Amino acid sequence: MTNNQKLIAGLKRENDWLHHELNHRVRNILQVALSLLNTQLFFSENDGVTDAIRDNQRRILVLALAYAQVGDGDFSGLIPMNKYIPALLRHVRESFDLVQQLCMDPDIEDIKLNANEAIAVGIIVNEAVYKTIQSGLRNSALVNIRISLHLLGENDVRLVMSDNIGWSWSLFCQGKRSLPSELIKGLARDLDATILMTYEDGAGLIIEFKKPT
Amino acid sequence: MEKKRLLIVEDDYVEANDLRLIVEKAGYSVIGVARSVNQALDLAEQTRPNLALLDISLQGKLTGIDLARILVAKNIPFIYLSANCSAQTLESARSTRPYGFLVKPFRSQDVLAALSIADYRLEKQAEDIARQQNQLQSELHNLGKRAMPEKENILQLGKLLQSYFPFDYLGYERFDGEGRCSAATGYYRVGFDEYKSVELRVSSSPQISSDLVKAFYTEMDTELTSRLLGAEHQNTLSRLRMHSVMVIPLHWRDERIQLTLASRQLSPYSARHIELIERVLPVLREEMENIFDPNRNNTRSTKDPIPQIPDRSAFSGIVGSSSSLLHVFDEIRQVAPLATSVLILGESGTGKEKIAESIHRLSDRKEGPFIRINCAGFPASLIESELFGHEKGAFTGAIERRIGKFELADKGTIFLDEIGEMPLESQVKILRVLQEHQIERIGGRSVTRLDIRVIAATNRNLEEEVASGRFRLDLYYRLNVFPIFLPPLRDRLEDIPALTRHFIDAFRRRTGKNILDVKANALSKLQNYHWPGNIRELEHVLERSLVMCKGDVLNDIILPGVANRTPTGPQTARNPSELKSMVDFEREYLVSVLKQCNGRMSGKNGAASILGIPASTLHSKLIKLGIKTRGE
Repeated sequence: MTNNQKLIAGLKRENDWLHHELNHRVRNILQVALSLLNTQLFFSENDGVTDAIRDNQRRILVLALAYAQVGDGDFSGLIPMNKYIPALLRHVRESFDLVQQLCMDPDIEDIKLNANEAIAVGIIVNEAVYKTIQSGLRNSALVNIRISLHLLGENDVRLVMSDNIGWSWSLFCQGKRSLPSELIKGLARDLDATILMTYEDGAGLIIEFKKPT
Repeated sequence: MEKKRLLIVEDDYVEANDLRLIVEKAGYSVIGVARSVNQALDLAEQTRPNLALLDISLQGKLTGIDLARILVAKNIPFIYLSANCSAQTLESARSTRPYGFLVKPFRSQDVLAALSIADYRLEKQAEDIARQQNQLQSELHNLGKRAMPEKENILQLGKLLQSYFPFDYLGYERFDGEGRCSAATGYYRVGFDEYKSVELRVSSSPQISSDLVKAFYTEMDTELTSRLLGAEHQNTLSRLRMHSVMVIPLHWRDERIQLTLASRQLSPYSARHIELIERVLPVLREEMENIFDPNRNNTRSTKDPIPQIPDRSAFSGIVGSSSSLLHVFDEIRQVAPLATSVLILGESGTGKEKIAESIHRLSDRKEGPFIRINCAGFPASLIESELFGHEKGAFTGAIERRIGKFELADKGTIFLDEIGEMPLESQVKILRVLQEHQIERIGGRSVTRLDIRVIAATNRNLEEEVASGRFRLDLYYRLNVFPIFLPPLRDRLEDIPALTRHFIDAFRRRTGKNILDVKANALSKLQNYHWPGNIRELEHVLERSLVMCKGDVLNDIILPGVANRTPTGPQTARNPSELKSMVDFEREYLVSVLKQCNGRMSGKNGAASILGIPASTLHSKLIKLGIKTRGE
């Protein structure tokens, strides 16, 4: 091997190690954040505060799950959405204990996004799905949620979330401000996305954005 | 009920405090939070914990894994915590046999789930060891009742211990009060129930072991083991390629008797073997009068039944007598009578189902059902209705009520084949059934309690599956209580003649065509092939060769893709330009197999079944490698 090749191989090893170490540290820091909030839970007696803490714990987990999808030998820094979104939905489902009257049907294409966009999509899905299930179960209805993520053409990404309850839709029509709806709108703005409403297959939202190249 | 005591070993205050609050709320008492290995050992010394939570990365030079090794020796169970769950980490964790693994960041519910799995395993383990103790004690009493010459008795004792403390070699030494050796024999295992005795030349008692009062185990280490066993004995064991030893010191009148069990396996013995032997020692001492006394009068009845040790027939259908296969039999004999779940690991075509069947046959559930389900190739919705059943009208198409496989397996065994292929969505439900022993039919309103034993099998590396997010970590630790590794055929080539005979007999029974002999070069061809498809492939290869065979002697073997290769072991290319990439090899190999099968992919003699892979996998491989089959 020439000296150059050796140098490149050495740099690559170092780079891989750094990626690995970085991922490790991100997870450790997220654990500290999660633990801080969890500790706070033990000292709060107000139901409203407890719910708010839980909501934010869930959001931190949405971040953590994105980093958990990066495989052992993968140093691209990209998040595979076809693993991330299903994992996220499993988490949401588990936080409601196992419910038989909940049907989630993700249809996620193999799209890789960088961490910022992936997490924005992750939080949007989390907010919409969690609140839909919550309001559906409150009315003891059968909840049917469809989530799809597809690539249209070269780099247009389309996220469709619809449900038989119409929560995600009413979110934008009621005119009342809430954190979930503000988060969805704000993160959609980050993605430079357009938000459309849909009435096919139950009421829902379509969020379209360009994947940066 | 007394609270379970936990030790937390975590050097980050916020995380440690969070853990403490979570587990205390769940009813555990925390004996302390340690920030380093030494602190942890001090705390454990003061109050023995029932379980420890260990962060893998800790302050100081030593890691959680180093601490784990010490805890293993002290028989303190533990769960790891780590932000890293790569296959490599899981693999190095495995050697310390943890009771669980929590990946950071974790939620309180993840902590509680891991604790409940660990508790479940500990509870079962305590039941198992009590059961083994009772069984072994009554077997020892039985043995004591039978009058036999000393040597015969030792051999019988060895056969009895074999099911509890698997060994390839048993050493028996007797020393009088002055440390002079009065008898020394070794028994070397040559078959399932056959031992060859070796006279040992031992002149005097080894230096250390005369002070030894408790049983212990160690890996073979020339320096340590030679001091413990004496140089001559240690040489004998090294010559026999033993890796691990367990020494049981016994005192009888003023003599000292030392039993040495040795195994070719790496770390076959653990703290629980020591616990078991310590528990039965009082009975063993009691019966020693009968077992070890050469001058005893034959006044006792000889009509008492021989202890019920499962014989070779319990493993009918599993052919071979290689040391690695015998070890599998030992593990089956150990685990079969217990209620423990078993995880069978091995490449495809190694006969995992046969192993599962023999575990069922040797258990006290043998009268109950044995239900097999192949988890591969079912989408989540279908496999759940297969496993749990459904009520009429539970979903579109559910026109009548259906009883699931779990319910069918009540009072028996359920065999979850290809568990590695189970969809993630269903894994959490399986975990719940395993933990709570109850199921809920889809669309049903009530739960049904079940009494089932679970045996799971996979040809995948579950640690890699976990690391890549395709398999749940908690389910992995729930299933991996008693893993049995089935050796691939290439690691037990000495079994090929017996297997060949077996398949020839089966062929004769089916077709009436009788083959009397197998030519030596045909046999050596079989023994020089690497058998990627294992026994299933051997069966197919023999079948084809037998069909082609003219006359009553099998002259030639038709191996897939390597037509008439000379039996010289793996081929090596002479110069680098001859070297082919793995992909090229794979392509060539697949093409040759397809040719042999006339392009047939699936079905009984199709390429997929010869290769021992599902037809769908073959299909996607062909597409990936750009191989076109006829009709495409």
